[in-house]
Amino acid sequence: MGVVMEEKELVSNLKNVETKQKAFQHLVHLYKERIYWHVRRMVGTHEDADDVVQNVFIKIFKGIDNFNSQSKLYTWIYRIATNECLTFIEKSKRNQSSSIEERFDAIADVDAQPERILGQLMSALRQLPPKQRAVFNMKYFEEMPYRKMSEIMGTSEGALKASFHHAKSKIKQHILDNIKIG
Amino acid sequence: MDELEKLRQEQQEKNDRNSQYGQSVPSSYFENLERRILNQVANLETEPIIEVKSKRKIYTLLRYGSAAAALLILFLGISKFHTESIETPEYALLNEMEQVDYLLKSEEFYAEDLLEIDGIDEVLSELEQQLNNK
Repeated sequence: MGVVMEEKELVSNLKNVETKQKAFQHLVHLYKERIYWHVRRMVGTHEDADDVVQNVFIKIFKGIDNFNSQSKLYTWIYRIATNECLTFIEKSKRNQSSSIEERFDAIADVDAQPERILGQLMSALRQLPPKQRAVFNMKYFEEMPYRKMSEIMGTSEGALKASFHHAKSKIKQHILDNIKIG
Repeated sequence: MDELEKLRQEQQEKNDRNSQYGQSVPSSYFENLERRILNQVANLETEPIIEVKSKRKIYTLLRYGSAAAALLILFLGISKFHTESIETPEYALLNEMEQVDYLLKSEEFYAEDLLEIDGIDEVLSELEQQLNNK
């Protein structure tokens, strides 16, 4: 589908049985990378991100009829992705011997210089509670305005600002501690 | 090769892939991901959404019926999580309540979400048994 489709038209096509498959193909094409990176920063590993992203898109496909266009389509998609990540993190905590924090540490343990710097950040991120991690990802990596984040997270802008502030402080402290140890 | 060695190798392969996909993922991966998602979705339409009879009842109830019943199920579900999550009960309860809150408030609420909550199967079975006994 080479032509850029307007959001209104895309949503309308997604809700029409005859055009749904084609429109969904377009949607996946548009959003897969952005959603992948959002999820990847939340869950830590490529393997887990791969699973979660597939679930996100299946939920979008199943739930599109319930999307009522009160928010932007992308905001709605982001909300599903964020919630799917939070659910995945919670399930991982309960079910797996290798916790998500350990896997974040494994990512941090790499040699290449640019990777190592990002690895430090990932290691710091793993210290954060999942929701704070989500807020930090959206603000820091994706430079998302608080208003939009508020729509996605269902939390007030003030609370998000506080959450981001706490996340930054914790990350800063974690990195400082690591430098001292190193 | 013993089981432990096999597991170790599998983990190593995962780590290798993770390093390989450190912070840059090749475009071929995304093409492949897109293909897999579209294949899954194509198969979805032929698969039953809910397999178990009791689940179907609840699904119908939620879709077309009583919001109060749905809330009751959710409440029972929350109580169950609370008692099962001995290690960090407060956190677990908070998390589940947030999930429920999310489900009820969000525009994409649908019954499959509810059915994915851990422990909901037992809650549904208990509920169905109670309904049958009346």
